[in-house]
Amino acid sequence: MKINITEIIGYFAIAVILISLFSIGTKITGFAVTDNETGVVNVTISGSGALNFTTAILDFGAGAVNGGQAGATINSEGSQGEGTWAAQNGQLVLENIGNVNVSLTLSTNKSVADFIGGTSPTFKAKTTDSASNTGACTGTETFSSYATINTTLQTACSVFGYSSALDEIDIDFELYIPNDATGEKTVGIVAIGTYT
Amino acid sequence: MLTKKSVTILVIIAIVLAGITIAIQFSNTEEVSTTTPVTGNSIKGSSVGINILPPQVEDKLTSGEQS
Repeated sequence: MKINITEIIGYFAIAVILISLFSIGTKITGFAVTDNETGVVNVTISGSGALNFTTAILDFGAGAVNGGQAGATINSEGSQGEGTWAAQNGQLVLENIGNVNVSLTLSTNKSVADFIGGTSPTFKAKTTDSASNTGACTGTETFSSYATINTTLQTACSVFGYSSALDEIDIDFELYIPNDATGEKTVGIVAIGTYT
Repeated sequence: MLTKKSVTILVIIAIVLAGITIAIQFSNTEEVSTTTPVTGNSIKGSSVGINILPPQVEDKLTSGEQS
């Protein structure tokens, strides 16, 4: 019997055509799991943490300790204690503008002695959720009431949210200014958001 | 009987269809992506300022007195 290689190639090509026509539109899965085809859209969204002080400067202005007083306690919620500073009703406002929850720590860039000076000054901070942002700061909250803030990193919120309307906190400050402190004073507040 | 010409055409058609089939199979393959956890820090600063004037000295003068 004479083998016709041309015919063999031809039949092989026909077989390939038939298999291809049968296979087009099907998926090789081993087992048919569904009759429906499902489209897949892949998108990669990278997590990114970012903080922003929407109010970055708090200035108590000029004032003095009242005569005869050892010192004055003032805060950013309108209390000027035993001093002549104008009532300050403002605070720093910090927003999580990223797309992940962050663990927020707050600290200062100098000690209270370097900031205010004098005899036994104190500098305290308090964090609260901004208006209409209830739940922005949850978990460990070192500054839920006035607590000393210094150069040591302290957790203000172990979970600082990013969702809209849940991503903003107010930071109030309270100072005790001894009567032997004078001069223009400034301290930096450092907010660090750590995310995983 | 298949002629050489018809076999050639069949082979070309087979190659094209096989290519299309393979391409479709690959395009239907679902990719399994892995996500590497992203970590990092966002650091922002702000400032608190105050001007502390010398303590007020009680004025010893009373109305009508002259210094």
